[in-house]
Amino acid sequence: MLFGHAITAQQLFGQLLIGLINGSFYAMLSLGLAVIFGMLNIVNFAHGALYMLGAFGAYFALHLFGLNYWWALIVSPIAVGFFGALIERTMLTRLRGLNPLYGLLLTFGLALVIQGLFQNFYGASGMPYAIPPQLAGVRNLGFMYLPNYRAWVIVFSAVICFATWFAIEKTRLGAYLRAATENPTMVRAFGVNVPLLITATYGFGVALAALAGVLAAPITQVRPGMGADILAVVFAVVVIGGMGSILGSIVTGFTLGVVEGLTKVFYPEASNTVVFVIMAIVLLIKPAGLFGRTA
Amino acid sequence: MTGMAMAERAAPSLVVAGLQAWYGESHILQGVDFEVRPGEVVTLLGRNGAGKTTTLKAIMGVLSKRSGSVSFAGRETIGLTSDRIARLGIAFCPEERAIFASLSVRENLMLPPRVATGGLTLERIFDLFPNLAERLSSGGGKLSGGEQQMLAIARILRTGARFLILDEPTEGLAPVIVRQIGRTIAELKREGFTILLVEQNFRFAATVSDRYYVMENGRIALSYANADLDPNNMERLHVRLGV
Repeated sequence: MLFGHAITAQQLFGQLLIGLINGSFYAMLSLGLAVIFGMLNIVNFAHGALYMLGAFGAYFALHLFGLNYWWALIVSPIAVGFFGALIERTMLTRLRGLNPLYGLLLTFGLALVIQGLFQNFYGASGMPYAIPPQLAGVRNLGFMYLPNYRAWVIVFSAVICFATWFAIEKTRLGAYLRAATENPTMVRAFGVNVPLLITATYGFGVALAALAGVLAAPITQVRPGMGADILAVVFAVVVIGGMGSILGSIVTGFTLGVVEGLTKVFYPEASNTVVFVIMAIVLLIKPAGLFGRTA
Repeated sequence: MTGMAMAERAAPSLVVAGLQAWYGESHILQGVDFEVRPGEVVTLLGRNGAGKTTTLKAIMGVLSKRSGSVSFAGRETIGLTSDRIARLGIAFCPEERAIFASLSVRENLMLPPRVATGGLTLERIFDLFPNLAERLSSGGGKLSGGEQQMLAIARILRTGARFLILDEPTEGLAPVIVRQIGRTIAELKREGFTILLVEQNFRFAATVSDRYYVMENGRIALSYANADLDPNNMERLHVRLGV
């Protein structure tokens, strides 16, 4: 067999599934980053910390307010989204027109502060969050066992990604967003409250991260460092897909998750680096990314 | 004409008084005064750099630094942001046309939000600009200069704004398209739109305007009504404009 060891179907599909799960998180996170970058021209380094906040939101909802997973799925992204809107209104808005590097530094600092605070109170180890009873259990597909919760995560995030793409590319609000990305002054002179649109965009991108955090809570545990861990890969995904490309971030997210999973089957030693190798190659051949428009 | 419309006709639609504006450190407008009455087509003339476009931008609120007074329909707008000014019923067609390349022609056309009732219907807009109807699904960046200009005017007619600001709508266009835009402006005037125009092309402006203001060095230097343009005044105007 390839690379000298036998690969069972169980192994192959198992890793493919894990790849799709990771891909779901990559897609949702890089989608939020793309939306934010397009509109605010800010590389949001706080994205991982806000993803972590989403997971903690689910944890707090359960333990402080007795709200179950399904409520957390709604409440946590909204709460974190409003927190994001507050960040935009009080801090990011002051950076408008400055070098994008300032936004990068500010959000990076924010990420460290948020993560540090949570580490201080909750330590570095994770806290368990139970799979909701409706999604517990495993389905036998014949060729493999599929945990219901994982199937739910893949389907739900695909639906969210599609809905976001649809809203941006096919609706009137999306047209405002795309137009304001191109020429905010003109859109405002037509009577659209562009600063509000920008705040809402940041809040929405952040809410997507928090939603991914809630989805991840039963899988990865709730841990202060969970965001920092995933963010490095997500940024590689964004670079590969092309900064600011909506469709690109979704497709690249899912694809790279699967590529990572397959690498684990065929050449496990490279599974942690394969995304970065692809990033390097893409940067050499197509610096704007696979789906990026050249500036 | 109803009594209401008569009353509106009496009061100026737009009154600009002592308007000053800056681009960064450069003091461009140094106290501009003029007015536009309802139903009029008023043209700002002047050489390059006289401050015509800056005046339009200052009225629209897209310049960050401006002072003085701009009142529209009796309401002071100098402290308002451009989105609030647009919502009062002023629509802006900029010199660079600002067609959004990432949007389709249809999306460009439908983009500006309605600010009042009574905007032109799409059928009426396609009457005025038949070419646009055929290009609805094209990308905004794929249009010719003339098509872009038509789209830039068309999209602000949908909004219900009755006061239009057009910055050099004929710039760089073929004569046949210039004539089409001239017919459109005349048509809009008949329908009661009020129009503030900036033009380099005096011959074009003369076919549509009721009155003219000539700008020099960030101020209004002269004003004429169409009726005042006897050969004597024409001569002086040509000297001022350098044509």
